[in-house]
Amino acid sequence: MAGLKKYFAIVKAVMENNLAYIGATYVGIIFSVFQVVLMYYLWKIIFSNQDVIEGMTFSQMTTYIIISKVLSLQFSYGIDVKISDDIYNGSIIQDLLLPINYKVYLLWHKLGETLFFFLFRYPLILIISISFIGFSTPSNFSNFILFFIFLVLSAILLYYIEFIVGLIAIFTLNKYSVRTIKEGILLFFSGALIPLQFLPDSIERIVNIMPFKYIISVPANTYLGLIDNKSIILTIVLELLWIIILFIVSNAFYRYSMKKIIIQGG
Amino acid sequence: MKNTIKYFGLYCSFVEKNIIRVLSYKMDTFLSIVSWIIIQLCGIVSTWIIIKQIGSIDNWNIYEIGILYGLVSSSRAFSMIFFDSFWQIGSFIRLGTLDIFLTSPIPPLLNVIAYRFEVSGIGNLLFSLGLFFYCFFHLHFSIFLVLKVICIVIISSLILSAIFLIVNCINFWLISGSEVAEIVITLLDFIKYPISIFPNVIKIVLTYFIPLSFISYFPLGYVLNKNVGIIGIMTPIVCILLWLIAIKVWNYGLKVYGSTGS
Repeated sequence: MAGLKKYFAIVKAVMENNLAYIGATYVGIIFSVFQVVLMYYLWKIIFSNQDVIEGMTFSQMTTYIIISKVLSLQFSYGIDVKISDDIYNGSIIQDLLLPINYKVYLLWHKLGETLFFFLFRYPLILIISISFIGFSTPSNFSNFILFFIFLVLSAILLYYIEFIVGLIAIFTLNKYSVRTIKEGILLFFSGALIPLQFLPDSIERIVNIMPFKYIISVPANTYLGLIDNKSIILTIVLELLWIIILFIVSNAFYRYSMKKIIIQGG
Repeated sequence: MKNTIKYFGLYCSFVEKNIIRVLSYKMDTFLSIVSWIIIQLCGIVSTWIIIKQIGSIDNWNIYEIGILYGLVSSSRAFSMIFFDSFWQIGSFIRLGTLDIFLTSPIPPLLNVIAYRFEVSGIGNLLFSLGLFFYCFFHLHFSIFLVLKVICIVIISSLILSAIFLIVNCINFWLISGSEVAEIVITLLDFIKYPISIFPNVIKIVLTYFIPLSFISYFPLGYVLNKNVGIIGIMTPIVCILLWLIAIKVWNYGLKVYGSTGS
């Protein structure tokens, strides 16, 4: 327990840091609610002539919009932002000199950030959006449990993706562009902008091989009961496989980039 | 007249310095251009996939909606290239840069405008050009339509920049004014679609309170005969009005700023 104390200090620092900018958090929440409202009216027009499109009803689509918007909030944050900030202003040298491994430090940093999301961002957006456009209950209890399992797995997957993206900043020495590109790619290929089953078949096949769908499309569709039980087991296995691949890649990349690191300014 | 020429010459030399500054970070410049193209591509592709489900919304087919999208992205692009420093008014006030502008012998607003040239605007511009070409190619192509759209782009960019200036002047009164101003950016997503699909509250807000629909829906609807009524032809008047208001608000803000003595 005493060993964990230093890690809790990281989580606490991250939370306090985020709370200092609570104003920005509220503006971000208004952003998301606007986008939920926009997508709601757009899909309402699309569903005005048909009841079911690509196996989804309008009420399922409404729920999908809210879940995907809430989960995609984390794309503009994450530890890649932390890494590129640190590299940009040179403070990474302090983090590297800390008596903990930098990777472990970032993991706890991510945990603190996720905790902040669950406590301050998610509930407000959920409440406001649901009171505007409604929400459907999970298809059944086991899917609800699976939804949370997928959420935990997707957080781990996202951690490794963010870590790799953050390390790219060591080579580009650039603060904003890499993270904007990350945001765009994640939004599109995770199914945050449109449910992936709506993509043209040829693109859908490619997107299904990529790891990004596990972040939004898979949890949301599980919640709605759109994935049958047989393929759920396969999905979990494939996701675990992706986590292992990304773990190996990020470790190798980390070791390589630590040799190349340039500390600028300070 | 003599002053105008002098200021124009000054502005050009500011721009030249800015371009030199930008070009010294080649990788940065390249990446920021690419990042905007990627973000916008994701946006238009997902919009098209949604609308493809029923072919058209409210009599606007996907290419007309493409032009609507292009109007928003191109006016954003021009506003980024020429007027991006409006977004820094908040930091000018907090860091005291505004004091330097106030003591220099050129008008402070010109100084603000000439302060920065945002390269990522070029990415946005390239994307918009590509989108316009693609959509015009699929629509009944006519040189008149192209000329009309070019006129709309110029007016829309000015309207958007005026709105950006007004909302960023909130910084004179509020500490976190920039965050409030950024809400306008989210509203830009709404005018990428015909606003007739939205409920009345949203339509009224986007027409009378934050007149963003004059950037895309009203002028383009007028040009494409989309039943938007006479309001489409009001666009240039709205543009002039907004700039008059913006300059008034800016001058009033400067007065408040001066009197607090910060």
